[in-house]
Amino acid sequence: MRTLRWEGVSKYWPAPGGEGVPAVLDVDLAVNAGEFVALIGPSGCGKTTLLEIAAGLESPTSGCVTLDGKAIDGPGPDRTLVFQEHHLFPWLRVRSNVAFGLRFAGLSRSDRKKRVDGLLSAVGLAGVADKLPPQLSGGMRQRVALARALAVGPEVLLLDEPFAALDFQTRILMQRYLLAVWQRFGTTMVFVTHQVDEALLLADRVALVSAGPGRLLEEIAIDLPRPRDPADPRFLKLRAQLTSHLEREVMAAADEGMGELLLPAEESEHGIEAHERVF
Amino acid sequence: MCVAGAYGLGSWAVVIALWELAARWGWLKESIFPPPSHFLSYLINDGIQIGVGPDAPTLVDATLATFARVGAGLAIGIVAATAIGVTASVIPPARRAVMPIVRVLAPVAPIAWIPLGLSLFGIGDGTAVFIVTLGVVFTLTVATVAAIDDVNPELLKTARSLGSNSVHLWANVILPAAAPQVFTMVRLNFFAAWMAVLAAEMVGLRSGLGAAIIIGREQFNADLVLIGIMVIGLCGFAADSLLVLIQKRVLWWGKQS
Repeated sequence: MRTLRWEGVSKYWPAPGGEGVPAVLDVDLAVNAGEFVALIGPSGCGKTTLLEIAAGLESPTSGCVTLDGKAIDGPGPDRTLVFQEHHLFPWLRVRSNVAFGLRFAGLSRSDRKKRVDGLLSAVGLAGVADKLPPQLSGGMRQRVALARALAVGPEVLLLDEPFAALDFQTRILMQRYLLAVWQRFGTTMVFVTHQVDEALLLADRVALVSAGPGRLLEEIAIDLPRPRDPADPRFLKLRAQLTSHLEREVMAAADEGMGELLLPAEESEHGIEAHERVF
Repeated sequence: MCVAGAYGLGSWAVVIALWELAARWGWLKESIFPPPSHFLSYLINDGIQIGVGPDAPTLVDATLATFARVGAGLAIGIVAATAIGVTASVIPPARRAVMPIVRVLAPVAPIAWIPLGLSLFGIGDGTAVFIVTLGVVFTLTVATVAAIDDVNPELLKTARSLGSNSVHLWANVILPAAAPQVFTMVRLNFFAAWMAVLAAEMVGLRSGLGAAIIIGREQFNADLVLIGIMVIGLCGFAADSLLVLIQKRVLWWGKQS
């Protein structure tokens, strides 16, 4: 099994004077080949950092990420990234955007074209292959970004809140596309989100990351058949469980930044007095 | 575009009509400030030679000479600014060494390089190209470095994750992403370069469009002076329109990346 594994990964961002600001601390996580894992946690908990280390774009301060037992020391076509923003190259037509990573794959021109055409029709974009990114809707652009990331034939797709900037309807459509892609290509998926429902609809397993610095708090297997029904009582139970854990972390992350009004009840009396005194 | 064009022609028609009327009514002295009907007919009837003798250049020669000087200077300036800007962005010590020099020289007006150009290259095209090049290269270098700094880091991460190595990244992502911003600066610098060449032609080179105006003055030929002004204005306008067209049609993604 070609497992993607974070082994004791910590990352400190350099800070003047001290040892640095910790972004993630001592994360151990294994994602099996073909598995769909969602990373969920409050904003600023280091989820993105975990992805970028796996992508080889950042190096961990300690620990390592391995794919099939081999340590990752740089970007590679076996792991590609999709961001919240589509980051298409606006000066390239849709077709050339999808083909961007293929220049390095050593394929013949006709093989490249065949692969690009195949991917574009898989995500329903065959008709816009010769358009430029600004001529597309938000959902279409994100589908192009998905096709571009898949074109190099990655074993692992690293998705950093890929649908967070889309409207509700488009997001539901994109989730369907992603599941279809996963089922068809068998790509391992690591999906960062801060939406509990999205994680529960998509993933085999949800990993909860603590408020920053990020630590892995728990892993919850989502053992429900697909397509998943958000009204299923088991879904609702998992949702309630995950939501309360996430809320606890969100409050921990916000603890010092939100002011007295959001403190727990026993402490808030003082807060209200303070509030009244102000006026 | 068409409506704006119609307005532009309309307001020029009004200005020319008023000018023409003012001359007819005797408010303007014809030998100093001749009306368009006078100097335009001079342009149509006589063709124009700047200066005297069989070798005196025509107006077309003068216009082409000025454009060639501005074009060559801008081209050298753009290539040099890109080279310096990329080097400064790739090698941090080079940036620390070069940028203080560039930032001190950038505010120097192109016209200020005329005396130095004349003493280095004498009277000729070399001086004009030197002035334009020095007049634009430093501002363009500052703009290039800023545009490269502004390239979205996630765009670079995307490209690297897709396998882009550093040479490929520069050629296919960073430079295209930075190009529209640099080109805006080229457009702004074009006028400075244009004016510097005209000034150099007036004070030293004795050829080109700028010289036409000075020669017209020396020969008490007000028609030549006004034709010179008109051609300079129209050529500058045409060149700027071309740059705007390039900006919109070729480097259109400025606000998209």
